[in-house]
Amino acid sequence: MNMRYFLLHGLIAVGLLGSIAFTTIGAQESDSDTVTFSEVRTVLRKRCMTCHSIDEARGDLDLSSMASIEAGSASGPVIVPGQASASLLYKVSAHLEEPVMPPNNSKIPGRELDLIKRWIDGMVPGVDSASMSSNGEASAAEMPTTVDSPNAPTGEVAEVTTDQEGIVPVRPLLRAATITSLAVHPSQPIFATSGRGQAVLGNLETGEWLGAINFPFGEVTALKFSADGETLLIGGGVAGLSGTVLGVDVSTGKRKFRVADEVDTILAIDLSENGRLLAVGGPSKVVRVYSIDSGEVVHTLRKHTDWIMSLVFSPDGLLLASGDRFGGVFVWNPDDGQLFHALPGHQGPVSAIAWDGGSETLLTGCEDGKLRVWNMHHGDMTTAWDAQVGPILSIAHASNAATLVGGRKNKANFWFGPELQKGTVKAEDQIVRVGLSAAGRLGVLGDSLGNINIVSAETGDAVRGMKLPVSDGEAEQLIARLKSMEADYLAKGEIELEVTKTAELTQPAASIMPSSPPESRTMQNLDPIAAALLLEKAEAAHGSLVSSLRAQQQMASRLTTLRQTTEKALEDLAAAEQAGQELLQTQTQLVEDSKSQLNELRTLLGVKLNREKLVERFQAEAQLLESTERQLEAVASQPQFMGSEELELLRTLKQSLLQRTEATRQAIENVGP
Amino acid sequence: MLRTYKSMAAVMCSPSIRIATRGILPAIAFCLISSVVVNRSAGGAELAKDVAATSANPANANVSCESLVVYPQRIEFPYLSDRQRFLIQAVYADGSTLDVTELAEVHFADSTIATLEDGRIVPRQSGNTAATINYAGLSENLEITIAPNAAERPIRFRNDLLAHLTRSGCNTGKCHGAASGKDGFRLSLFGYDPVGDHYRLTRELNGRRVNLADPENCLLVNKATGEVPHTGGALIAQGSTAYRKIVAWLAEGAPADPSDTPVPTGITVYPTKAVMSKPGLSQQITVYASYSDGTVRDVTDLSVFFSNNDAASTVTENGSAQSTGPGTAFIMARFDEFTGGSALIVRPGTQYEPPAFEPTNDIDQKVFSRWLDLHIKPSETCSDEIFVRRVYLDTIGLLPTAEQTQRFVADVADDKRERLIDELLARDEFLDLWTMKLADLLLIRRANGLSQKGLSRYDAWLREKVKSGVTIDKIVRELIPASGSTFENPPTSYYQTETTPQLIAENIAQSFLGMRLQCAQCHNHPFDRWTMDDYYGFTSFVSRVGYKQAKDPREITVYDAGEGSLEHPVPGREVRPKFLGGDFPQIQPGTDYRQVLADWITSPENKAFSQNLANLLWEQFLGVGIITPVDDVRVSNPPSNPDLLRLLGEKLVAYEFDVRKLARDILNSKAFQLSTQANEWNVWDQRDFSHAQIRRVRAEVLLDCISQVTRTTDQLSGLPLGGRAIEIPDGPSNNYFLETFGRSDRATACSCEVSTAPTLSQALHLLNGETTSGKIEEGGVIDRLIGEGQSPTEIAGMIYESCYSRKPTTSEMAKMSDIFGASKDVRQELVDMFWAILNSNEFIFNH
Repeated sequence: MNMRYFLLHGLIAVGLLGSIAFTTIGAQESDSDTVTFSEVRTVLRKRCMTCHSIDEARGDLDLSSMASIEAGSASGPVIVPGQASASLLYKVSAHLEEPVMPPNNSKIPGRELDLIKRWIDGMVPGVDSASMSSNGEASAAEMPTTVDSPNAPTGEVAEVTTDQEGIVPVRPLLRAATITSLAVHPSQPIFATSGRGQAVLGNLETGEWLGAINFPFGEVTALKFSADGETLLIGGGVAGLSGTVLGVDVSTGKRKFRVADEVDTILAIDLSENGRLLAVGGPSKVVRVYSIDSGEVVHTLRKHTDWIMSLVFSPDGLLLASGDRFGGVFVWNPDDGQLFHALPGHQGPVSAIAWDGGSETLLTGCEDGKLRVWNMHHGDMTTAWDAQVGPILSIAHASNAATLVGGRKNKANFWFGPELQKGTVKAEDQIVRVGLSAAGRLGVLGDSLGNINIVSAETGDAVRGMKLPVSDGEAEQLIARLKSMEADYLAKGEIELEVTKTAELTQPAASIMPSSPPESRTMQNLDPIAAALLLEKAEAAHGSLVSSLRAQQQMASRLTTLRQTTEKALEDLAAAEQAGQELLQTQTQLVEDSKSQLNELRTLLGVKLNREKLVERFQAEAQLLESTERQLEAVASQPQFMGSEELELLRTLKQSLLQRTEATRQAIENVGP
Repeated sequence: MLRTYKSMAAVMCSPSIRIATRGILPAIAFCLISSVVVNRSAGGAELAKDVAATSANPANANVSCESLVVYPQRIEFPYLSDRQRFLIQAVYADGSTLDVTELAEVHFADSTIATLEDGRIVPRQSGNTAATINYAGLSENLEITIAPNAAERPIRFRNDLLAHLTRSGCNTGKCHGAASGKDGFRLSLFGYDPVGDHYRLTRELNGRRVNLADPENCLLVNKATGEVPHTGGALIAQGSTAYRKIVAWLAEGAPADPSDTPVPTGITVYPTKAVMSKPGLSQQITVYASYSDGTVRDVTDLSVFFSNNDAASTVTENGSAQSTGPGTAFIMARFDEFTGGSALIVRPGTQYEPPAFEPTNDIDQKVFSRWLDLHIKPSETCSDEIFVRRVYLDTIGLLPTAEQTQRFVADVADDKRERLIDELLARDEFLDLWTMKLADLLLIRRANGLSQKGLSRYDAWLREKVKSGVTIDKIVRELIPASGSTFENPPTSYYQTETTPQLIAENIAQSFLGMRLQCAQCHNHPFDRWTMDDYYGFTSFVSRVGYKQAKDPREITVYDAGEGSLEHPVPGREVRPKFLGGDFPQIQPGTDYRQVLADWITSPENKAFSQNLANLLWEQFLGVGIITPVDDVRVSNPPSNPDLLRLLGEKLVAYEFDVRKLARDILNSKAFQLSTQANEWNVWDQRDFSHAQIRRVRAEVLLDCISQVTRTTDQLSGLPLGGRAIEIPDGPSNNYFLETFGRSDRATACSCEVSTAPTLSQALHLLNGETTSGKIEEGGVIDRLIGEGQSPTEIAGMIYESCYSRKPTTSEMAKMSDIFGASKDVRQELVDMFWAILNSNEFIFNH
């Protein structure tokens, strides 16, 4: 939890409620009796937002923001401020009311449920929700200083992925892992690739690792340099939970912006040519276009029927092309969000998209093995060919018309149009990501074993190979730790589900609040880099505590002022009360009058109702009569089925029905219209 | 209108026909017959807490413990990291057993080699030792061997990872095992394609599902533990065995299995038998897998358990069976592609004395020994009136006439039932009924262009064969390899009504072997032993059927194309003919595969064939198969009395498939001749033949019987006027009555095509349809009898005898006399009575 929010929140609340809010603040600081929205949001995101997000608001319920929660669902409001026990959100989560949530599953852990309960109970009825929401919201559009602690599931990631800005040392991997993203700088011999909670920068010419930029929100799954080469976009998150994009200054590693707040990780990102629009795609099946300036979504592009695998702005910034896992390719106008072309043809995940030099020709690569070329004037496919690399996983296109295509058959090919293939690169495993240097002279290939190969585009020959550093002995440590877990298991019996690491995640702010000092236990076992990072963290924490103290002092003085104004207001209120009493008396009289009026009306209405009932009865009786007559006829025509006794019975029945119908008709007339 | 009928219905409530059954037509049950439904006794569901600490039998303290059984008897540890369970069963003098694994004392001869922890044996170092097990003064030994150079068991994808995922339910049909996967991720159903599953986890979306750079924080782990939203919820606890295996495998680089990785070859489920003396006891079930390298591993914790009868015993996900009520339950365990089971008997827990029962033949002996196991006492033998009606319906599909009944009842000879059985079996109508059953199996129907002429020839062929005494094995041996034109060689029509090899093979398996293979077309059968390899191996036999048009446009020619094969859905797997549960036959070039198949199916050694036919016959007479449904033989649907089924199969083979001879044995058994009236010792039994089953007469027979007693005839499709419904040659009958009462239209090989389930439209049709009222008037039975000068009570008596095979009871007669005496229109009263009888359960049920 960030201190700034805290205070801002507090101040507004104070402005409205005076001393009550003051105790609230105290509570937040000390024992977290009151829960903030961003704490609850962690729970909602984890447990509810697969189905109740902005993209998939089942039951018309979107739990992604305070405003949308207040908007309620198809079943009406979901929260009653101050009363969790009367709030649908809590009741269905606590399995107190149907439909229980999550559906077909056990209750969410008690700790998380309690958090929701305390959050709702802590809300003050009547407080302007709009102001609440603008405060409670997470910091999507805020500047880097407000970057939250990672949403990582375990304490471990939180411990080692740091918030430190700038170019930092490369964090070793536990094991070499597949390259999930790769981007080559548009003008310099630099490329970026995914590390462990980091974007790692490498030099194409020398094969050296230049350093890394921390991405404290999970794993890096998408990378892109801006057209001017000044900004590196780092997209990623915790798969199945969260996704966001960080924009950093390439030369310093300093954070420029953080945009997007997805419920799953990011699979494709791009920045428009002018650097104003950011397009983001992933498993949510929509492409979202954000404004970098405001941090807000400007367009949500809905046409894809499966995960967005690839997207790219045209070099002139006028078009945006996106491809999905089901073979769908769409071209959009990013300014108005309108569909420009639908490009059908691919059979399989469209893993890569590139523009062929200008903005008039689009190149798509798909797991059906084919490269397709599309004309943007007509939206037609001009040519298609098998790239001979198996299912295509990645393509890169350079200004010299070279297209580098990597695929599942452990191969990459350089193509110059459908006819000309120059150079083949073989790898030990699938070639997952490829890039081309600015002039198209060097190709960079990342495979699923974690190898990065730099090859000459002229010959396809390997120039040099690179590998991210792997931590010495960490895998063995993990295996040893698992073994010790086994010893525990032998001693205590099989571990039942329920005791999960959830506890750590849902621990209220305390564990990630700046006020909590680094634990000494971790200090002893840390390597120097991690220790340094922890020290830095502690320093930062101290700094923010100091600033928080100052803010608190400021607030105290404001509160004094507020108390004075409030006292004045109390006097005014006493006068208002007097006036109110008088008003009450007048009202009482009015109510009495209207009551007698109402009674008169009721009597009138009663007569009318009675008539309607009679008419209804008449109709029913007439129907019965009719069916009896039919039965009589039927019986008369088939005497063998019915004794004369029954015939007589029916006739009597008909007679009495006739009488009753007549009586009813009479009654209707008596009642009058 | 109902007034008269109600009074008639009251008359019909004779005490001798109180019918307690699931199959009562609802409407009729309501308005006509007051049925007596006997509730299953709740009997002793309290938990047997008193069992612990004492060696006494939990149901009867006076019964002593006679022996101990240890499962398994020796344990070999190939790896030091393995843990193995064992079971100790105490066997009591009354045949009951008790799981005393946790009560017995266990001593290891050498605790440096193996020790016991948490009920599991933990190997310490290579060597041999033994454990001595003591309980109730008895002692048994358990041999333990730890292989030389035993080391840690390496983690393997199929044997560990996939096993844990399967156990956690990840790859079931409603989750990621669905054909299109779930939430973007697919696994093969129940893990039939381990190589594909490894690919999908590690490569399909590179870097998404597993992350080797940080194994504990990847999607696979986070989804399984519920750390990130997961539609399937949290399935694996952090730190649990499954968790450790998954993470350790990731930490080792998520490798694919080396080619020399041993694969499971089968499983053994223990105990092989358990007789629980009362409800409320538990019995642990353990599962051991054998691997291709000869090793054995305790996979209890990796198996999925289910019970086929929760009313007798439930089972927890950890394999602990809990007895719930008297009866039998088969506890199944599934691991990898194998399904196995353990048969449990649960006794009612009351004091039991063996009943005085004289078996008439070996069939009775098998049935009787089962009753002794289950603590069942049989019902009384049924009366002559009931027997004569039952045996007529079951053998020839007609009711005995009043005269036939009278003659039989009046007969005082001891062997009168035997003689009647022989007399009926010798009649042509017995063969007609049998032909109908075979026609259901052969799916004789007009479909897929089979012409009326083709149908007639096909039907005539079968009828002719059966009439001339050709046995079923010979018919099948002629049918399966049939080649030539459909007109000249009618059995080729079998290949016309269905033309896809898959469907033909499935039908052959279901009709002649009683096995349903359908599941294995797309995945290994989850509840049976059939794998996709078995399926495609079996289907290969009919994969080379060729077709061409013959001269007549209504005719086609079926021939052996001599080439072609099927494609296995898992890429690269070989498909060649393989007998179900048997070997790959050596087939000489040029031989029709179908000939090889026919020879194998009908060979006397093929127990599946003979037992399936014996079971069909048994079901026809006893109302419920030893395996039920009869065409669903599978590991998880075992026979209720395996010894009996085996005996019947052997008999049929010994009789060279002459069904008359086997039918004679069955009909002469006391088991067939029991009353439907249950007693307190068998009221819960539905599967062990301790009382007769009340069964709705099947559609064709019911129509024939109504026509018989009303003396009317029908014009049925494909038959001359007056033909019997059981002789209709086609599937669809175009007859409302037959369709309503569930006649098979032979569209599939499923035994469920013949339905005797009650429906509202059946009740309404009998109440108001032309089949009852119309036929009563049309046949003029009442008028004829009145014309002959019979008194109303005499006429009523005759109707009773022709429909119920009994005289009216005194109280029925008294009530009728009152009605007739007071009536102005006696004829109408008689018609009403006849109508009520045709609507009564006593008429439409065989009891």
